[in-house]
Amino acid sequence: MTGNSVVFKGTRKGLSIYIDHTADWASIKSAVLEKVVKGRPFFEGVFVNLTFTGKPLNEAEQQEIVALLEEHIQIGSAEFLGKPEEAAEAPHPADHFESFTGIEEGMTRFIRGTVRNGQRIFYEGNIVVIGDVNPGGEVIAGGNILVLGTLRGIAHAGATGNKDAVVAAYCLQPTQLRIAGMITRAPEGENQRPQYPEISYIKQDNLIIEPYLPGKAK
Amino acid sequence: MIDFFKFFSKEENTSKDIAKERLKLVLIHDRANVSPKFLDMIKGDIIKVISNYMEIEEKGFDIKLTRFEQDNGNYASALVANIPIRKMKSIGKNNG
Amino acid sequence: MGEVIVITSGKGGVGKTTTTANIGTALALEGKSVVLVDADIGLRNLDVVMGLENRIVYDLVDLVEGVCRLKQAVIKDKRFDGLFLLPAAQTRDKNAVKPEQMVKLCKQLREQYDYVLIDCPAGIEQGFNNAVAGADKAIVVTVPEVSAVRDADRIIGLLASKDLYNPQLIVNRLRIDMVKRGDMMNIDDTIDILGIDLLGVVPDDERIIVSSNRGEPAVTQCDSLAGKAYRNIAKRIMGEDVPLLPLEAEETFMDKLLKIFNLNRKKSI
Repeated sequence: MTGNSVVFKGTRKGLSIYIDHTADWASIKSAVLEKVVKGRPFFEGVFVNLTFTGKPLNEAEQQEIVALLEEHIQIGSAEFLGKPEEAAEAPHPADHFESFTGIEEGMTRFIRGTVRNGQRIFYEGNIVVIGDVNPGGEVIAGGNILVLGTLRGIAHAGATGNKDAVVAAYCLQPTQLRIAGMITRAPEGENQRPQYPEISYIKQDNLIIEPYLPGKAK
Repeated sequence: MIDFFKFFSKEENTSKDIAKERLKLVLIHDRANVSPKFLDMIKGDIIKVISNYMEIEEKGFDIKLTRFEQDNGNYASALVANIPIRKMKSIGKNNG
Repeated sequence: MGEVIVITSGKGGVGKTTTTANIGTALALEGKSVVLVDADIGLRNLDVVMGLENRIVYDLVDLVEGVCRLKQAVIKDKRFDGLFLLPAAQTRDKNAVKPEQMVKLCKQLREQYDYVLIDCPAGIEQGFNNAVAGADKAIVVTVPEVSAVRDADRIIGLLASKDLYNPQLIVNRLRIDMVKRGDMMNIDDTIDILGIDLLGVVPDDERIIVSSNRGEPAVTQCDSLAGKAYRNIAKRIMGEDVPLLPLEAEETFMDKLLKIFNLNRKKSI
């Protein structure tokens, strides 16, 4: 167990990696490796911009860690902002990429505004979008995904393995919907806009879509 | 053979003909990779050379790349210069 | 102090250059001083659409490289008072200019003209970055087609990342007949997805092609509906409140007949 020697945090700009000041180099490397492997669904297909904070690394260590990460993800840019320990910000205790379990009560990121074509929002907890998700936009969460608007892009809930996560939207019309490892697409030929909010979840090994409350279907 | 469309067209020069002519000129410039600045440079050199032989009116001096129709019906590019002369210098005049 | 407005779309061929030329001309006709900037380096077109292709001596790249002065590069359109054009270079490419140079240029132009309209090239790379670098506001042009709207959405997201918020939308090439048949998205569908304010709607109009052939912007043709739409857009840019043109044709007898037999029911999306 590597404990909390390294903390990963996804932001709109990219990935922030906080390195604990007391950790030794070997455990830092293995923690980074562990987390990047676990976080794979978040980094697929995009160039990730890295920001290192916390314990400063020397040049050789910087090169090593970048090389290590390059084997698993595509790196857009890397900046090293580590500072010697002062009253450095302590990492959020809940920040680690285990399979997120807080889908009934857990940390949630709130996104205001529409997620547009080409944008990707990812977070290890739950995500609530107060806006639409347009075609080409992606929302990837370790927990639940709620869209207070129209979901027309891609949503991937339970991305780190939680099969109980749900995706719900006022208007559920995703191009692709995934929960944990299961994936589904909008049925062919269906142009009807849903008349009521819907929720999607895994029921007995099937990915189903239902009205948000039973009895609401017309 | 009467071209009915041309016969009934109200406009002397249909817009497509105007377009074709403009396009041909533009492409001469583009293909020759000749920036209009290039013409500026040529202009400068021509003024220098000709000024040895005659005094020219620089304001009215005009130079452009254009097309002209040859006898065989094909079009060729031509560099056309319009050089207003103020007066001849002695070098050019016949002496003795 | 003037306003620098970039006209962009993401997708190519939706009418950015035509829109820039026509809005610019219309603003000049309203008495404003306008400079049109062609930022499509390597594929210049604004000069041709304006009919000024034979007047080019220096271009944008010459200007930022210091080969010439502003007054030498900017072309005065002799037909319209207050209308000027800064053409793009044809024999260079988009890497010949850097965003910082565009910021400096726009600062200069802002001081001398009421409106600086920048015709943005298609795409999202260097050309786009250059075009938006010095802009105060953005106009997004799209047509009511799936691929164009998707690209517009992407562009709106990218504009936000460049601190250009609240761009305004122009829906171009609308065909009312197709909208009525349910074969073309209507304005509301487009706005619903893009979620930005509507600046104007320009109907599909053959006169646009004719005016491009002649190098005479459509706003000067009184029988052009698109020209009228562009003139209204110019007025809105100046702050006037102009209602949208009634593009709906009268319901024809055929429409009524089809309605009776339920044959033209609008498909829902």
